[in-house]
Amino acid sequence: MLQKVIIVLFLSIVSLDALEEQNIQKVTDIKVRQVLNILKDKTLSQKQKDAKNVRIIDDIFDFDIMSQISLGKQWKTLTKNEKTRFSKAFEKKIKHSYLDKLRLYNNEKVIIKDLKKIKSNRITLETQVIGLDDTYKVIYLFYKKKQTNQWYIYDVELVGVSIIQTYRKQFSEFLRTKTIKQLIESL
Amino acid sequence: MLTTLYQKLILKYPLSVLIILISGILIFGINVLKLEIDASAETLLLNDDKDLAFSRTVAKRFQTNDLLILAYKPKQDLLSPESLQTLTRISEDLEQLPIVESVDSLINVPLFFSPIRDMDDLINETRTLKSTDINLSLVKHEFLTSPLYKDSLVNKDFTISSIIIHLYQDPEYFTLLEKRNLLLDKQKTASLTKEEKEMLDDVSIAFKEHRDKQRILNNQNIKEIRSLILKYQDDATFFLGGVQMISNDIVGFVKNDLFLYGSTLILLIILVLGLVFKKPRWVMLPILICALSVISITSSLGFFGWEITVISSNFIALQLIITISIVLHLIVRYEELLTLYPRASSKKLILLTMLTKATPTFFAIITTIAGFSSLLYSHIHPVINLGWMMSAGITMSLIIAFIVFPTVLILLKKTPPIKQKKSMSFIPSLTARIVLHDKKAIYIISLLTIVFSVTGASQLIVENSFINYFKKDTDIYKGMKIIDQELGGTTPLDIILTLSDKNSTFSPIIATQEDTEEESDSFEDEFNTVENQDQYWFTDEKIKIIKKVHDYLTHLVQIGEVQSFATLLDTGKVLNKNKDLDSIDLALVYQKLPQKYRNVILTPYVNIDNNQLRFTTRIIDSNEALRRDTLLKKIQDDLNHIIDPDVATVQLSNLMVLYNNMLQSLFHSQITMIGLVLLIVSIMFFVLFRDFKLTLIALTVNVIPIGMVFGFMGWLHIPLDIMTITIAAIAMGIGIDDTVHYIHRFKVEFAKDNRYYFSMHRTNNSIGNALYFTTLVIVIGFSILTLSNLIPTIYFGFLTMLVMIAALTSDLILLPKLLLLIKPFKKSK
Repeated sequence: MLQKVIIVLFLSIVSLDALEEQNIQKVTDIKVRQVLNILKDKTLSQKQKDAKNVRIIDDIFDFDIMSQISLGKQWKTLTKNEKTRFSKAFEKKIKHSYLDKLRLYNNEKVIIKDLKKIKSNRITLETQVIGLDDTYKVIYLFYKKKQTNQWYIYDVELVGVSIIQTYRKQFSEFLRTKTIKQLIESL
Repeated sequence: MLTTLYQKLILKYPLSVLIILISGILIFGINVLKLEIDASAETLLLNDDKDLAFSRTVAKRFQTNDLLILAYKPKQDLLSPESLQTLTRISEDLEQLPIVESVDSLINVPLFFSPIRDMDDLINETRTLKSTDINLSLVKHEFLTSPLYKDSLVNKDFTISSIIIHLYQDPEYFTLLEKRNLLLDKQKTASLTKEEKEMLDDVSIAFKEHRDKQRILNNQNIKEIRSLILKYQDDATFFLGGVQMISNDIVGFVKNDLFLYGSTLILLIILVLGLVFKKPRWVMLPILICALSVISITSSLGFFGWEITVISSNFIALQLIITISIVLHLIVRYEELLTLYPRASSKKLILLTMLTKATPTFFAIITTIAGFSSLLYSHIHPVINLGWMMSAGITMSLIIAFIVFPTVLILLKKTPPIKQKKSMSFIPSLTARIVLHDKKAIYIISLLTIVFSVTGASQLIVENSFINYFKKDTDIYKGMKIIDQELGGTTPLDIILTLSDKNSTFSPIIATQEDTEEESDSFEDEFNTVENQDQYWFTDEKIKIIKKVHDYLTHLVQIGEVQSFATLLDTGKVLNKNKDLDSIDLALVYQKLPQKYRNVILTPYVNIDNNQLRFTTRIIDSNEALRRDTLLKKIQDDLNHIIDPDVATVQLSNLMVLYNNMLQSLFHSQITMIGLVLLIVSIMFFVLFRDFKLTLIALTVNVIPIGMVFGFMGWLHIPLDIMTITIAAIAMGIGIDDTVHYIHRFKVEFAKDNRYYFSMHRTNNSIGNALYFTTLVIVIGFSILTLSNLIPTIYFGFLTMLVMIAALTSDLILLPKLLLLIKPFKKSK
């Protein structure tokens, strides 16, 4: 179950150039298939697959905002230098995790479902991962960046579990007894 | 006044007095039927123990229920069709029993690695040995290696497996208990209204009734399981274990054992009395008085609704000893007077006997009572009860003896005095000669005894191991040992971690720059609202702590089985292609896990609402090197070091802690009590003798035998446990009795000629005989206990004999020696 759900999360993290609202659904659909094709391609080595897949997600995920949310209020206490270092480390962590989970892919199907506009700057996109016995709901959370007016993914929710929330909780507990420096190192 | 009482009433209407007394006792004796013997482990727990309240909360919060363990050793291989069939049948039979909720065994536990499957499949279809297409060699491998099952469900050799019998939790017990305790707490701080008082009475009665009912059900359940086992005895060997069973059952064994050996003891006492005194009346009278005393005290206990517990059960033995001592003193005195005045009338002889013995006996009893009354200051309920029972018991013995003895005797025909053979009473005169001829040996031996006692007592251990109550070659010991050593241990110990709720202590939130991004603020609100949802609870930090604690516990040799959330993490790791589950994985598993699985695998170990983690372990009880108190302190200390106190606090819980608390406080109360008892006894001695030197002598003579008992216990590694811990009280009672009688008589003898040596001789040959005969009767009687199969009974018998002999030696040798040395009596003109 785990593998399937996690794969889908990353399968659908297709590389899109920054999104316009009206393309979100369509482009996501196309890009999911791109990633699926890469994964199914037996001519590629694991390393090559990894490299290609990373490139696909790079633009659509806003890693900066993800880092920021994952640290919560603590973010504001960081110096500029710390913020950069943390964001970098966090991005690396997320990507690593992504590639790791992608390796578990086992021919599951992905269907893009409804798009919902929660408020003016938030959109969710529901998808379904269909395996042999079960179907899981995966929701992508998009926000509209003010400066660019483009949409980016800031979180993914798998079967009701928010990935960023999971990290948020983790980091807040970590920082109870340790420093931000230690956190960056541990990432 | 006493003279008038005897002349005008007791000796005037002996038959009527006797009939009234005996029929009174017998009528009141109906209350014996109400006597309750609560031998359950529950009575051993301290009522005001904070750990008890905590353990109850833990049991409720983590929804644990009591369980019994049945070890199953089939004749064939564990996984052979025959063995599995027997297992299936017995499990089904067990499930039919009324208080059995469920039964877990090889045949129905879920298989996770046979073969290793996707978690999805696991959740959708639980495989067990009953499933089709099961590969038995994979299953065997899983049982032997799975963190969930190895060394607890099966042993290392794969020859024995455990059948775990879950009993229904008794919610009413806790409801009533809580109601009662709430009112009791309120009573302590403020006065209760009339209604509340009534409610408290009602709840207390309801609680007691419910508990008694439950106790009968539990005993019945164990009996039914036992008879069930018998049905399958041809196919396999079974051993029933589990701490509830052991503590209940062992106490039952102790009771039966005491009953069997107790009755033999009475027969032996009769025999020795016959041999010593050679008159049927001197056999009949002590036995009659003992019987009446025991009936009256037990019926009083029944009347007042006092329960006999393990700790207070020894009081009957002590009452028996003191009663025999009282009667034997009377007999010896009467015979002495009879020899002196063979022609005096029976009435005069009896009156003189009673009057001359009244003062020393009264003082001996009152001093002993004063000693025991100090037990009332202990805050352990059974010990307080013991104090009351002892005091009430010996008072009754005194009264009954002083009524029954003269009335029966006066009704009987006067007989000629006994001609004691020299050999029978050679000891008292021998000791007199020893005292006379000895130069320094007595002091040296006394000194050596003190050294022996002090060095021995310093090695005393306070341990209560129910398993070690049995001789190692008995079947019951072997059975318990198998469960203990091969199937994960016996006494449950829980470690509870309460995780801190505090927010980051990292640093106060001060923005380092103008951060006015509204975006990030709106994200804050969005994420804060769902932050506390259960699925996010399983963070890496928590997992790290869980693993650390679990690893620490599994490395302790004193601990058998350890189960916690870490066991599941280990299982999950195997299923996850040997990769640790991270917090995202765990959040997902948690979301997907159906409630019925959460109840089985999460609820016993994780309580998200209270931020608590539970690690369940079982202590290997048969390990003789186990030092329970030290182990508990070490675990607490080590965990306090392993876990940052800002992150979580550690508490130990469950029966291991409660038994230890009880035993430790029993031990400490005994130690402080001994001090208090000695103080009170010295005051009593001073009041009695009105002489500082005599008080000091009496005290010394009493302290040495008590010290010796502890010395022996230390050197022989006999642990102070719930059965042996009352021995000091008994030693005290016996010692005081002997000393008071001896000194009193010595004083009387000394007044005759003011010569210490002759006084000693006369005292030894008169009262010395009474002391000696009492000791002889008790020692021979109690020697039978050493043949028992139960270690506590053996110890009890052995230590009582030791105390009697030590007290007698001290009173017949050291006491006269000190009297001769210090010469405390004033010469009368």
